[in-house]
Amino acid sequence: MLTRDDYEVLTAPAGWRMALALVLSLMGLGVSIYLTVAHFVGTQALTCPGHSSIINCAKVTTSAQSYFLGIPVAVLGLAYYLVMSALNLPAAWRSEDWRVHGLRLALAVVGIVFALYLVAAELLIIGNICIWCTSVHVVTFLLFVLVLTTVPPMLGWGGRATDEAY
Amino acid sequence: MADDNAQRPGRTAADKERSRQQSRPVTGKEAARGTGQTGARKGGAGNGAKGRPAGGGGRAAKEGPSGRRPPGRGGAGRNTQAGAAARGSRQAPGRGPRRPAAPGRRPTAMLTWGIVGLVLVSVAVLVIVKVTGGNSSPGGPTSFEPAPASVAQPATNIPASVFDTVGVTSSATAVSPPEVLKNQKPLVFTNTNKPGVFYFGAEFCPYCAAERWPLVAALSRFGKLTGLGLMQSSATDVYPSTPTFTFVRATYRSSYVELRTVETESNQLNSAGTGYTTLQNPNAQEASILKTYDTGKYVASSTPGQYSFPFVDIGNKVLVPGASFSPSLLQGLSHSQIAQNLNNAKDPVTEAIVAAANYISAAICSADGQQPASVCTSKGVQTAAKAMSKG
Repeated sequence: MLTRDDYEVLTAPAGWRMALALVLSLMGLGVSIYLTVAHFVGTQALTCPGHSSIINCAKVTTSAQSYFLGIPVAVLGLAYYLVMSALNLPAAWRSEDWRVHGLRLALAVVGIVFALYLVAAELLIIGNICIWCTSVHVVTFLLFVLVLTTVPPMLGWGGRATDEAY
Repeated sequence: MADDNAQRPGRTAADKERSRQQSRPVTGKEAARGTGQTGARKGGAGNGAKGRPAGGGGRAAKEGPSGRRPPGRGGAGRNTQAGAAARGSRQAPGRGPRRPAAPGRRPTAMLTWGIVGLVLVSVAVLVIVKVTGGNSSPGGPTSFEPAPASVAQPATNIPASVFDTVGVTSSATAVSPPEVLKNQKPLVFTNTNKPGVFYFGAEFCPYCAAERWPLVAALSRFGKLTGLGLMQSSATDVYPSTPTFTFVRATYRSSYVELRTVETESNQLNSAGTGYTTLQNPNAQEASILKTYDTGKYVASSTPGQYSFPFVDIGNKVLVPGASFSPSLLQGLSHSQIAQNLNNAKDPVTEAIVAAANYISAAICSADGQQPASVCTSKGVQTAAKAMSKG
């Protein structure tokens, strides 16, 4: 069993990775704020989409699946991206505390698993997708890929990455 | 991080110089393989000769066992025997086993991209299941159910006193005024000479379901609306099974305006379960109206780039860009319950329907030259006209 003392010093990833992670987190945060406001203020237009498109935000955001354990999914998304935005600040990326990076990786995994659940709920239960929710799912996926290809090498899992590689 | 070492006390000038030369952090390959280049960059044999004591060297000893990792730079030159000895010293009891040198990142990279691929495959499977799985209860064309007189008669004959008493407010819900257009060419349908009223909606749509009640009520003040059918919005959409009418077979005779309606889709899912069955398509002139006015410029659509409904164009003078009130107000009520209360100005559902109907009536009056006077000069319509002009 490896302990934290067994790792080499943490090296911050390439600048573009830190910048992209922050940008993606802020994008997710922005859409999450919109969805949360729409959830509580009810800014949804009282209209249906033409041609019974599979895209129907109102139906998705007012469905039973818009709550998880009694909490609005929009609020969960907002909280998630608040934390992820903090974890993806350059200072956090440069932290030598391995737990910061472990938490970022764990949250990225939790995020993509929850996004998959929501996509399944939209497609198989609700029967429609929300374009705003989908944009968050895409951002979550991109962030997951970025974190997954960045953090494990930082932590030294499977060998440290080269500067060129990451 | 590289500059940290340079600021540490108790270091020689040579150490500081070496730290300055360490412009980049140690890398995985270098750390694991101990290449000559790395050794040179990381302080060379000098450091390697000195090695680091168990515990990771002086710096680590100072930092102690915190959440932070012990430093790895400034350490032994790993391409040297001394460096190897130093590495050996770092594996002293109490430090735990040192992470074995990895042959490369390939296995980890494969695992990483394998996980990413798994996510993509999962999404693809969900989409395929959605597209090919169809619907467990695909709907076919439903038989038309004419609205019984017990529903149609009260819906199309609301007493004038109720319109005047209600005005434009409801104690139960907010009623949105329509949108007044300015400087638009009046809408006149081909082969007619009367101002046109164009309704675009769908039977599945709960917002259309709500808006048909005031539309029926208002139109009935300017002419005779027949052929109404009983309808409910989709049972699987938001505000499921909202009671309403369908205009799919409706006919309208009026001395003042010409009505065209398009119910573009039914409330029955198609066999693939991907949408609702198509009922009617707008003709060229109607499509032109939609292209011009059923856009984000006038309609707060939930789906940018698509038509939205309900959409009502009243002579290109006024647009109703969505339901005037929430369909939630009609939830749990039957057609008869709604219709039978339409003569009660105190009923909250009636208030919402009639308030919206007053707005539509005022809009029609603005399009047809304020005819008939009995309607256009009534208290309820005048109240609505004032509210619209303020809005």
